[in-house]
Amino acid sequence: MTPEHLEVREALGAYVLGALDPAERRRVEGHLSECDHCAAELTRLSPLPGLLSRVTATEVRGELLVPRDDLLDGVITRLADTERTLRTQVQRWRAATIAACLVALVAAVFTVEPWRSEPNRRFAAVDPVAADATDTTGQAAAIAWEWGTTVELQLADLPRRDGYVLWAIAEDGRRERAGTWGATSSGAAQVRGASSIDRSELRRVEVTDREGRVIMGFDFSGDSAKWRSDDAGGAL
Amino acid sequence: MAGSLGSVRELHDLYAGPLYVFAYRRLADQQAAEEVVQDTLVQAWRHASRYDAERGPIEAWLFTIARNLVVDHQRRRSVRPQTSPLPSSMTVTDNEIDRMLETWQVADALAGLSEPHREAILACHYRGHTVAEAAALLDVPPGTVKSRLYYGLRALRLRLEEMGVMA
Repeated sequence: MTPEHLEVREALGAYVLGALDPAERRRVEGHLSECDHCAAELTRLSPLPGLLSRVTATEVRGELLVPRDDLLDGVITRLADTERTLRTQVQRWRAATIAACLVALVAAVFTVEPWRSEPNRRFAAVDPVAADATDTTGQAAAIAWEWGTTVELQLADLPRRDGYVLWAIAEDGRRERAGTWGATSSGAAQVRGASSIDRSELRRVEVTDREGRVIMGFDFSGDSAKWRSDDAGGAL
Repeated sequence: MAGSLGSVRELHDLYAGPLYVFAYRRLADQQAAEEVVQDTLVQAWRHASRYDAERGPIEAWLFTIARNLVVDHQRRRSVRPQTSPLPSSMTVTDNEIDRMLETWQVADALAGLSEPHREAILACHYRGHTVAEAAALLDVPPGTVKSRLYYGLRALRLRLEEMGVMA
């Protein structure tokens, strides 16, 4: 590798974009006629100017052709909303005042004909991570849909934070934000979120603060989560 | 339902980019373009049963949905309602779909470059500056401009190769 070779090699980008002055261009061309390696490298770079011309300077500078990262979140949320509208009667576990009646109703339905119309749920108990989360009680339910999973949380005595973020984590480590909510004075939360992760691939659900520090988790991998059981129903 | 479409995520990963390029280039509005993409994917998913693989590729079906949504946006924007037939530029050919995909891949690859690499490419390719002019503009030695162009283009090539744009 001669110094000239290295210098020409680094000038090939400018050469292929037509940005060299005439004297240097001639020097590069002289080297190219003698050096197969540089000629081959030039061939590999030569399609780039044409591809670059597909987009305008304004589009590149403003990253105008790159959609937001959370585009998929919006799609998932809206699909989840549709399901909610369609299936309100089996979807709700709502305010504490009606919870008792509902549990009785749901339990009755399950006893008679389990899983006929109810999208099947798996439950996982809270697993505190932050030091002040040990008093938190509650559980997460994961409901399978064709497009992914909805996650429902019912929690009491949450440690105080400005806001909370619900995450779904797949077996392969992929994380998706499934929802956010603000602080409540009671420290209780009933939250519903959605993710495109398939329920069969859901490893864990986590609640973090807005800065991403994990407060608690819910383990859905393997056998640790339960299919709907009497315990889970009773906890509703 | 939706078995032949794959998962929502697959649909998004494969087509959100080109659909977005399509919508943005017609609406010149990022938010409106993002709405079009989301509406397209939601509609496609909800009406998956209407998709018939034997009648044509999924891309054509998605771009038809998107095209109608773009027209809706344009109509909402215009003061008087538009009753004339769609201009021919609104129909989407297979060739254009391929091009949109490639355009989005180039834009995405460029967005993934480091700022110095992208700035050097912007100066020399898009604004047509020489290395000497770009060096003055960016306040770095000419050798630095050359090296940023070379390694920037190499990084771009690598990303495009990974995406399958360049062999």
